[in-house]
Amino acid sequence: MPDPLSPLLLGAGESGATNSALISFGIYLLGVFFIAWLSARVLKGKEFLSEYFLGSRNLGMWAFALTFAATNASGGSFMGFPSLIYTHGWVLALWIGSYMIVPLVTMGLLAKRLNQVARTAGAITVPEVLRERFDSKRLGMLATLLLTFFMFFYLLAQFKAGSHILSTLLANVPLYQSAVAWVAGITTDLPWIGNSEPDYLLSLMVFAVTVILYTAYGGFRAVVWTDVMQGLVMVVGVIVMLFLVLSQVGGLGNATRQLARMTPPEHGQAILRLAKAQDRDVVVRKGTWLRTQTSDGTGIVRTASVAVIPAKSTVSESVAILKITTPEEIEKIQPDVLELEVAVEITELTPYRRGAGQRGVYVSAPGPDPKNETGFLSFGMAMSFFVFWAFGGAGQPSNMVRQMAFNNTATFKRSMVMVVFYYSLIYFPLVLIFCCARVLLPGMEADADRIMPEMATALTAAAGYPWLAGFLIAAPFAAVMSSVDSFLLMVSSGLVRDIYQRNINPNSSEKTLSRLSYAVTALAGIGAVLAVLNPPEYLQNLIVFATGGLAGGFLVPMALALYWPRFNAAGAVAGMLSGCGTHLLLYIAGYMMEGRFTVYQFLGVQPFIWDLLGSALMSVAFTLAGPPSPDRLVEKFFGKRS
Amino acid sequence: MSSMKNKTRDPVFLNCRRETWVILTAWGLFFAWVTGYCGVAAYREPTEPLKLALGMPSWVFWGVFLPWVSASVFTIWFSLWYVADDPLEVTDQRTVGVAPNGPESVVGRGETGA
Repeated sequence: MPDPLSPLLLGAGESGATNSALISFGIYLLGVFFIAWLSARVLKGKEFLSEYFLGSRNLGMWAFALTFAATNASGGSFMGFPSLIYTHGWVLALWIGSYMIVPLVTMGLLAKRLNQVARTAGAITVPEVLRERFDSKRLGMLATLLLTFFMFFYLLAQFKAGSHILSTLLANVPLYQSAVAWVAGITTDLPWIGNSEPDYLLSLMVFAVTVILYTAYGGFRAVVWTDVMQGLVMVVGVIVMLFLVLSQVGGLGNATRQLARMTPPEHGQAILRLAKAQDRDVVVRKGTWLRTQTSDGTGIVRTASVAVIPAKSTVSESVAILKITTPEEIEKIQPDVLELEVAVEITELTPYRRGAGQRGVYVSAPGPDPKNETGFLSFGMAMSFFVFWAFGGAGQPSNMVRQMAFNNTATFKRSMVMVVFYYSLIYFPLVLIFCCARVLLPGMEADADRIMPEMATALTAAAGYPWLAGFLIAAPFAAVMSSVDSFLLMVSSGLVRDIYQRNINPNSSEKTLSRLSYAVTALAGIGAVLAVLNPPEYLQNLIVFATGGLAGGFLVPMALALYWPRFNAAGAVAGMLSGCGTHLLLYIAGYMMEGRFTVYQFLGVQPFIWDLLGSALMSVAFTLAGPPSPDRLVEKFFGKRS
Repeated sequence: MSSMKNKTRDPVFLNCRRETWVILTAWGLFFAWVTGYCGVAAYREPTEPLKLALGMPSWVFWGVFLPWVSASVFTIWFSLWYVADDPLEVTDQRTVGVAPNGPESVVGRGETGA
């Protein structure tokens, strides 16, 4: 019998997720721990640092290809990207188009030469390559500091993303909801932590404990092997979803034709009204479909936040809504059947700044946009992204360290082929899947970040395999895990190898180094968790800030260090500082102009382009102004071998 | 002068440099294809009639899908048949391997860790 004082819940019910999704997900986590245990066994009997941070430079084709691909596919690929496709339509094919050439550029540009130079230098970290190439302690230290600085920002963002993804994926699982209630009970009164949502805290703990444990325990090899498993989970998940969605939507052509008839919805506010006051609170769930009657005729809206109608009252406070504007959808969508009659009084409607009332905007560029009147993707930004995805990826130190780890040229060549297939099977199909999602699941703009788990649940339920949802929703979690573990290890390798061993205690014993490595990896993770217990805002901006800063600071100096014998230490320092400096300046300008953490897009171009130009200009100018690299270094890294 | 210099250079370095120029050229060509075609065909009035190819808007087919397939074929050719099978192991006097402990063992023989 229901408690008479508990609120009456109305509207969108559970989306069909059950504990079976949690069980599938648990099996996946067990697999991750098993791999870490295996890696730790391999670690025994090998030279510690080389194995722990670089897998003894012995990665084969599968390991190299999948760790490279999986590390690049972060949580954004499976949460943010689908949400953008759903919101803006086919123009995302152009936005992500550079991935056609990403395997060639990100792997081909530096990998073989970097691997050779790292071997010659005996380097196991990226700063160490630069330090040895120029025989400069100061340069090595600068590289370590810049890398650790930007990596830590990236870690913060990914920890937050990981917990956000987990709480989103498991939101409707009964066991998870019980655990959230328990966490709420013990954290509400705690200072600082109590301000955070209990589901966020629970997910953060699960995510952090898993990643920190297997990364700290198993080191690079555990990270690589889990990346292989996570990479396979991602690609199989996407392929299964593609088959299910195309069969359920009636073919891609049918979906595209329906997209062409759609007009963007309108975001707004409304008051919900009951015919008669109740003795207890009435709660209308987020995502509930309600009919409206206006002078224009019948409409349909979806609640975008929870609405509460207090006891003894007939009206709610203002609630966010999404109003559908496509006539075919207004006819097709059935409102939720509620226990009580709820009338909707729309108080405010905001049409999209670009594309409002226009058909065809979801199948053309620049795509509709709720906030930007030039649309989602201006032509200048389309060109910028073609540069950014390819060269930004090539400049990531996490990619560079993997390129130092493959065992021979044959492995590198075959891996590049594998990554071509891998990215082609993930990124373009995601565009198809989530364009079709607009047809199958209308109104998800109200909570677009949930489109991936919602689609997984809806597709598998319609196909009669609900247990498969747990496997499909593991894909985004795998994506963010495979990025976090790599970055965690890079921070600890920078501190242990580049700072402690190379500068503080060069004669430290194997035992000391191993203990320190385990401890620093764990502490870096714990530090990041503490920093995001109260989650920072601007998650996506943090990620772009960190990845842009790393690529802007490292790509040009590393490329010139590998390919230009004359390039000297002064040029490398100037290149790194000006790349990172340009990046920081554009963020400072953005903050001063808009009063929030954002970047200034000078001339409407991706800031990364300016970072690269600044870095290249200063690298060349400082090199030409000074003496060339000493002959012994040129001979060592560029000379013919005896 | 340049060819004389090249004679003293490590062949792996020369191969890598040659491969890098091919990669940059390929990137430039695909950049021109995708942004050139889409700049004309994708940025149109939304009211224009929709043309489909393989179920997708025709600009996506000609401006993204087809170059994607071409870039993939090119990358496969490049990696399997163009990239030289260079040995990456260090086998001469500069043999260093991975440093077991400390900078002294990291650099080549006769050099200091600076």
